[in-house]
Amino acid sequence: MKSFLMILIFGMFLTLNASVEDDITDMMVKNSEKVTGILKDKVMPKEEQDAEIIRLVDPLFDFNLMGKLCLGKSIYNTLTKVQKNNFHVVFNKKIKESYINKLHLYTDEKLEFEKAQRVKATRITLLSYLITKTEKKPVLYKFYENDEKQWLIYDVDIFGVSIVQTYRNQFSAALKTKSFEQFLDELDKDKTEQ
Amino acid sequence: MIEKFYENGVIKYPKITLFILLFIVTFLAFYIPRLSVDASAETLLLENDKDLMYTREINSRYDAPDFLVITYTPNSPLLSDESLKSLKSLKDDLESLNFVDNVVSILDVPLFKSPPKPLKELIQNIPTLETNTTDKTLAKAEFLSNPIYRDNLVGKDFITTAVVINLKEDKKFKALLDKKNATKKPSDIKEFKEYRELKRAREHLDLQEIRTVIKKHSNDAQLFLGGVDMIADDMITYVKSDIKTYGTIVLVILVLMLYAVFRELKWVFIPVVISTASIIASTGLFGLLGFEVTVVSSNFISLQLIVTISIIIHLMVRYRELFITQNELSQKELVLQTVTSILKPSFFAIITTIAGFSSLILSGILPVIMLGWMMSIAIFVSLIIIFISFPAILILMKKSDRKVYFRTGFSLTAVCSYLVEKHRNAVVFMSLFVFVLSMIYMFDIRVENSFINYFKKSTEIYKGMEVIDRSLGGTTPLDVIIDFPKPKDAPVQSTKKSASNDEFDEFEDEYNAIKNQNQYWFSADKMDVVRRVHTYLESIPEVGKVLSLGSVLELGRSLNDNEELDDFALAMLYNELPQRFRKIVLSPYVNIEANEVRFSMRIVDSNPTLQRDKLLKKIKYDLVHKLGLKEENVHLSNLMVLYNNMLQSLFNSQIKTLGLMLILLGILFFLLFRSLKIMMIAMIVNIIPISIIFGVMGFFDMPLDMMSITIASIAIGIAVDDTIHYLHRYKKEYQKDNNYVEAMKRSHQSVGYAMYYTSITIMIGFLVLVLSEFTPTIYFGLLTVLAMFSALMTDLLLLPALLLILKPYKN
Repeated sequence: MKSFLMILIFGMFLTLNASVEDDITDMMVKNSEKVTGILKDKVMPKEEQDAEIIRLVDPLFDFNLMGKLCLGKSIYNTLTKVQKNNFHVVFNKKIKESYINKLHLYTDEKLEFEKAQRVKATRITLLSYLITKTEKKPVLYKFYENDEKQWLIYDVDIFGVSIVQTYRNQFSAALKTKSFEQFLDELDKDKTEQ
Repeated sequence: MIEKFYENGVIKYPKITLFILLFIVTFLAFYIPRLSVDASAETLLLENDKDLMYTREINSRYDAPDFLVITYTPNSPLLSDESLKSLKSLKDDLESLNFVDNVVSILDVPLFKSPPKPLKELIQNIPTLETNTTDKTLAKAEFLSNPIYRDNLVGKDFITTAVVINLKEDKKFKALLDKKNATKKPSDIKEFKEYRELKRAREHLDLQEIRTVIKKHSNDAQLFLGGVDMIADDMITYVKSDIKTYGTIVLVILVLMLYAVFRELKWVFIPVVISTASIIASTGLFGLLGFEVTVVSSNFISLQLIVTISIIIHLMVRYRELFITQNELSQKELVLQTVTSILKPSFFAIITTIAGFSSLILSGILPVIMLGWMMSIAIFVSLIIIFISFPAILILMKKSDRKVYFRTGFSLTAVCSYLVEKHRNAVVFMSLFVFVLSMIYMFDIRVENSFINYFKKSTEIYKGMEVIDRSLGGTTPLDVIIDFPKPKDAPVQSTKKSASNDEFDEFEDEYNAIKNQNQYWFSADKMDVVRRVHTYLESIPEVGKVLSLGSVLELGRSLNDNEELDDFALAMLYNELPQRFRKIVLSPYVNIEANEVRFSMRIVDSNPTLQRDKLLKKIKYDLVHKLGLKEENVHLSNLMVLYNNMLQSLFNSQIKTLGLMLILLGILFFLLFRSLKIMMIAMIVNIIPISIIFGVMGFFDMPLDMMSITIASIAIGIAVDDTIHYLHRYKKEYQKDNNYVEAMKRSHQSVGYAMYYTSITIMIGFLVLVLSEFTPTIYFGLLTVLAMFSALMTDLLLLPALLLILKPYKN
């Protein structure tokens, strides 16, 4: 009886986990279909497309966490509350623009999703492939579970390059020679898009 | 004792003596084929140069293959169908050669804007000139604007293009070289040298195959072959050809001159046979000892010929003098007196010449050191062979009944004798004037080594190198390597830990684990340094083409709507670029493992205002002081640096060499003449020809380089011989009547003639070197003639004038 109960509990646990991963996969497949649909819509003006896509992807990403990770703990923890707020405003705007711009580059390609994989108790990765005419290129979405038990994206590896890691390098290099205010000012003005 | 040796040995048994000598010479002759000629870039470098170690390290790190360049100037426009077809045919022919790895030309390189396409399409399928959709008008514009192609693959005028032939790597050679450099064991050195000989012979044949291909295509275009390997091969060809052609011509002219002066066949036969035997013996000995002839030591045969002939002429003149003045003596007595009276001054003359050449050993430059050793050994071999074979041959000949006097018509020695007697103060004043003037011009001497100027303008290699210099970005490679501080050296930021940051810590660990992956190496701060250094290097007028990650960044910007590629784009570029393009645009310029970037430059070698040392110092200074890089992170390497080190070392060693030579000479003169005054006179007389040579070099802007460095030693070698012979004779003449003027006149009439004939014979013989295709040989010929002439003049004018004024001998 005892062992039956154990099997039941363990089985429930597995079923429960599998459902989170399936949910994430389903959600991303649907979401990507919607985004692709918007991008392929030749009638819709670009600004409207962008706004629509942001509305769709905004709830999926934890942009604040991405910002914190991009700055790194050693820097982020030294900032004042005001500095942190200012940074998040500038960074969120920048990362969204950057993500949208990258999407615009790939309007004709198909995105194929594998099944999401749990890599840790609070981490799930979802591997997808961008199918071009000649190649299959990996795009990896990284999810974490926040305190509110929501699974949110904190990083995307595009063709083996992590968005967060490249920002971390860029920000730490810039902050070696600049004050935080100067850095933020430049980030705000920076026209180069990621 | 010496007399007994001759009486009871050489003169008593001349046939046995000559047979033994012939046996030894024949034995040594078998080793002549073992003597190899090495003109590779490696021979021109300093031993134990830390920059050489660094350059070898860098070359291995950046996988720089050996390559040759063909400059291709088609008869029709570069991008016309006709030109491209013939270029393709040339490329196919070259690629069919089994030693060629691949050929890079305008046909193969990626075109990004012909026509322009979105970046993602480009990455999937990068077109080349051979792709059907390529727009040739746009391609032309792209070739001229692309920072990697312009002034590199195509000239500014878009008439000439470069065809780069990458050669297959010889892994065995590299392994043997590394092993030899690491162990320095004789067996490893032997193994390396044996393999290198094979390699060199093979490479020579390879170049001939390439030349055959070039010839086949010469109707379609003007083609020249260039590249560092070509320089070495051409130098070896010129050196070998000069040894054969001019060695023979010099010998023929010497024969004619000897007959013109002595009018007897035996006086032609004896010096020719003895000097040939001496050269065969010493060449064979070098082969036996495993020596190698380099570009610098290639003149050893000519130099040995000068010294050998000079001693033999002194012996011949002395014999004839005794023959005329003491005709009653038997042939045996004549030969014995000739040899014993000349042996002492000749021995000291040889010793001083050896001292002169030995001082080259201090130079620290292997080929110059080797020249020092080779000449010291060769002259010593000559001394032994002459003083054994000359009496042995002569004793076998009958005493001649012909009395040929030299004093017919104009006699330079008589004019000199008159000038010294009547105008000795003017002679000293004129010598002083010449010395001061020479010293003034001496300071104009530049220390430069321009390979392009080693060849005449009519040669193929000169034309090829000039086209590469003028249109395709320069010839001599120079690299700037910039290290970036290692991650552990980077300033550590404060880490305030707090309890609420557990989640943050976990993410930090995740990113710390991947932060050193190669694709993340391309950070904005590093790229900023690359851009600034690249722009600075491009701004230097003496620098031809600069290729670096900066060129890739510039290209990236032009493809990215004129916006700089950011870290993410560069990381993507690193990950996504196909291997064949990565080898062209990334691998040569960045080494992520070593955390460094490489700026590959070529210097315009034919630029007459180029001052190599100054340029290198300026680059290093500016990178540190103007661009704010740390000195320890800036390194200069490659051939330009190594040759410059060698040149600077030459300059320093020249001062050391001359200093040591003068000290040795002073000691030898003192030992020989036992008089401080005579020592001083002899020193003054020998310093002036050296100053004249340097003065003339300064006046005519002849740079002090690998080749001309040896001329001071040669000058000393020649001048000292005459001085010793003259002083030796003068003392004997003075002892006869204690009359300075009469002793001078008699010396001029006897040993003066020997000096005069030696000099004239050798000067006329060596003037033929002016006809060589190889500039160092021409300079060598001219400077030798100048050294002989100035030495003769100071020995016939200044030396007796000083003796007459200072009166060093006691009654």
